[in-house]
Amino acid sequence: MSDSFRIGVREFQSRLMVGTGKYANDQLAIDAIRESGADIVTMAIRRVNLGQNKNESNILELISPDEFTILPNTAGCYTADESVRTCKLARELLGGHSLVKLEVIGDKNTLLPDMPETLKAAKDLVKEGFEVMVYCTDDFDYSIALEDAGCVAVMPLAAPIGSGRGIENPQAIEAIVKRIQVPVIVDAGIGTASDATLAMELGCDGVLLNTAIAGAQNPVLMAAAMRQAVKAGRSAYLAGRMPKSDQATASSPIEGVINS
Amino acid sequence: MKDIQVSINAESKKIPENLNIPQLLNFLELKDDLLVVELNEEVVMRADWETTTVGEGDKLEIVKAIGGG
Repeated sequence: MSDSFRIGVREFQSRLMVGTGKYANDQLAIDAIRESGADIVTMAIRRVNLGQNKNESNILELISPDEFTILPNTAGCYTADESVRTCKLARELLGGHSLVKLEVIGDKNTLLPDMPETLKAAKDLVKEGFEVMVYCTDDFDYSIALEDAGCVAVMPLAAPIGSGRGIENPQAIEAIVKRIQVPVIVDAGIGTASDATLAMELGCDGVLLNTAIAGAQNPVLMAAAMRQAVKAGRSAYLAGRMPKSDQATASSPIEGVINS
Repeated sequence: MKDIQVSINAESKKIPENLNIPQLLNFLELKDDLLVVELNEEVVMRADWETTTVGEGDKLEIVKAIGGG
């Protein structure tokens, strides 16, 4: 059964989106990313090293825009202006492609988003013609404001970036899912497969993660686990879980037990 | 040939005058694909590389994609 979904103008099959950072080597990165089944792959934009080896490999040679939808991020940006500049560079680098992941960080230790600045950047980027997938806190009102600003996906964090703590406030995520019309994607803080499953069971449209795979002892195996976890959670959400009960209810018939 | 002073990726550099973007990248020994150039905070479209010349005091950024989340 096809369960594709749409972000902006594009249609995707995989609801798992993965980052490309923190891998021990390039080969491990591409092996894990292929195993994850992801269609969308995030990258960062950084200055080249002057005096670098002319034959140094470029990540876009390995993880090609022909194979994946590249989602450039604004990681490391602390202001709306920096993030808009970064997105413009990314758009030119990727031949005019307008899908971006906006993140505007407020503090270098917590890496939590600066929401007023994120909202300002989102408005500026939408005006510039970008399709903005926005990393945000799990704040209900800001999620609505970001959707109203024209973002194509709202991406609340599960927990701080790279923390692997899982979904710290499932009620907040669920409230956002129920209210927001554009895709809601949990981004950051996923630690293991069950966290990704929970995100999908809550009704999220997708999960974006990086360190949970790259930081696993066996990244390729964890990539497979995440692929399965996202699918399992999505199916469980679509299936509709049974109601919870305070009391036990026997699964086997009471009648006909041999000692009665 | 005269040298000019420019800033590239926040490093002060002396480069020959009248270089266009492909010549600048060649001077810096950078492969010219899979990267982007910004001149004085405006992206230089690839179609404009040949006709864009770097001048005294210009601020350039040369960036590429790297692994990230």
